[in-house]
Amino acid sequence: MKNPYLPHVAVIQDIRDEGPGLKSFDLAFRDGSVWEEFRPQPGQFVELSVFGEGEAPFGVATGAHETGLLRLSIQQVGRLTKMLHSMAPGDEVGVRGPFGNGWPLEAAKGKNLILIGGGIGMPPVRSALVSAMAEKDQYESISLFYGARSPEHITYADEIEQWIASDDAKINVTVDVGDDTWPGHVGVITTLLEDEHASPANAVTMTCGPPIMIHFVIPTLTKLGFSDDQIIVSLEARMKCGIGKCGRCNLGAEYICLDGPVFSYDHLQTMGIRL
Amino acid sequence: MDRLKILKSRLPDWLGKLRAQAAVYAPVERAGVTCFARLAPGDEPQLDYGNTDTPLKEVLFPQTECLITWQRTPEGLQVQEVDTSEPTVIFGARPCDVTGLRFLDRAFRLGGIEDPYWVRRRDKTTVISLVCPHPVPGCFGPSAGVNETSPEGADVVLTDIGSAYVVEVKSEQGQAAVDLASDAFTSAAEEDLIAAREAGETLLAELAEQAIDLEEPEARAKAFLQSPAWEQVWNRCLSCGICAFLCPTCHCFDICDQSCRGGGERIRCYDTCSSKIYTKQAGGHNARPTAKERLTQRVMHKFSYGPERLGVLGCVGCGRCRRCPVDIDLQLELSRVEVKEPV
Repeated sequence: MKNPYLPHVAVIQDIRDEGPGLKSFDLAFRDGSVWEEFRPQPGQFVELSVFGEGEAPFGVATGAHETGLLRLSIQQVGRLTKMLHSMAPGDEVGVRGPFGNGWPLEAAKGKNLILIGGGIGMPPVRSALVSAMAEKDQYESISLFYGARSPEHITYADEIEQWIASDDAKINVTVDVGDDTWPGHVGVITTLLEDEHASPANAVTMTCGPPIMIHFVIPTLTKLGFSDDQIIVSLEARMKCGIGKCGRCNLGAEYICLDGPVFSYDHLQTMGIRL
Repeated sequence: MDRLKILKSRLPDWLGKLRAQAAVYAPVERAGVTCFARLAPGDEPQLDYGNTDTPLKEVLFPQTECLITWQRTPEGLQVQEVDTSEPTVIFGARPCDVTGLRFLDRAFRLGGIEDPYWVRRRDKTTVISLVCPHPVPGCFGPSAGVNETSPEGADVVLTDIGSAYVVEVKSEQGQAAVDLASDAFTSAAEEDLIAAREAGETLLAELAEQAIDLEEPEARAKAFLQSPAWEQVWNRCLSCGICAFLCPTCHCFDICDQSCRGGGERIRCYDTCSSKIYTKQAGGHNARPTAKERLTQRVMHKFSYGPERLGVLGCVGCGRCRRCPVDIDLQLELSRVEVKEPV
């Protein structure tokens, strides 16, 4: 019997500083053949083991076309992430998954794809963005709205420069609080959506960020004319098992880990879920 | 299938044969607590019990169990799964607890993803149920849909008729368990069957006096959460989780690591949606910050979400959760709610 609790051993290949307390980890499975069956889809998550500390769920930042390396971008907030941040290339961790449904990118083809990321919600948004940009001809347009706490908190800053230069997507970045070095938009993400006149015409939005951001983004999108089925959100919970057994992510009759983490807002409405 | 009977005096013979083939778990009293424990040679089960203090689920879903182990070696981390499943017989379980296994079976196979630790044990387990002679005060199995005289999920059902048990064999697995000691069984005579039927009728009549109204569970749960009584209930909840640990259908768990000498174990243990830290994330966000949200989850999972997702009620009427230290009796509260027309 296949054991979904048994992690694959993965080796840290590369670690990059992404901002204060935030690092990206590129992982390769020690047994390279694992990748073929693993192949995370954009928007899925994994359970990462730091042996001795335990496991925690993280959204995958890797794009669909980026094979071989699993990228996780992780904020240091608790014991497990503190231990992880002290690790070095060559160190081994465990990975289970991938879990969840992922972003509905296929259904978004032919439309204006609007990705909205906030804070540490950015990794799954990156996975959607780079996957869509790799097939940009299949979308009417691709745009990113990204809100960070401050300029130094902008995740994937180097890549953002490249994305802007590539012209494959319209990249909009805002910071809650600016500084002397920041020439861009200042204000929370909802002000960016309004100032840039995000349009619902033939569009679908996909949002990932902290609960408080989602709480405010949804009414803003509604105000801008987006219908509930054009609002797709990725939710999070302190998922321990990833397979709908441990109970933590139970949301109505559904489980964020099994039926999500990506939900359409109209579906959440029918379940009576308020965000 | 012919009904059989086994004299109580022949029970040790049958148990001996079962124990030669499988780990036999039966009710025993230990330090004043009645629970299911593995019978060692010479151990006698305690079959004149009301119900075990702790639920049957702990045989198949232990309070704590090791899922995997790891070792750091010169070749790198070695991770191994643990499998302690073995042929098992559950002997003498009450029909409510047996019915509780149905909810857990569905939960641990939810989404087509099997929990190997549950499934491996469950698939190797034969369940021999023992009909209650009389109801335990506070139990209301029939109100929760339990078949008290022939529970779903049992392979064999025993009904006490005094000096003997009338034996109903409900599955091939049950037949195999009986065949192990075929000389201990005889065909039940007509009078034995009448005695068993009368015992069942007496039990059901006594249970009817303890019945509570749990019809329309989802509408009832929603109505309760809007009722004046609800404020009194959640404000009192200590978030201790005793109701969950004693519940035959609760299956929430935590997973954590224990390190020792270059290796370690990954353990899972019971957890509860009542706990303050159950849904708290490392960053500080908590989706269910107060007892109100947490107890809402409990009520809705038992009576709405669980039935919707798994097709069966998350309560089997055993009444164990009435041991709440602050006397919260959710089922009784629910039964008192006036259910309006479903919306």
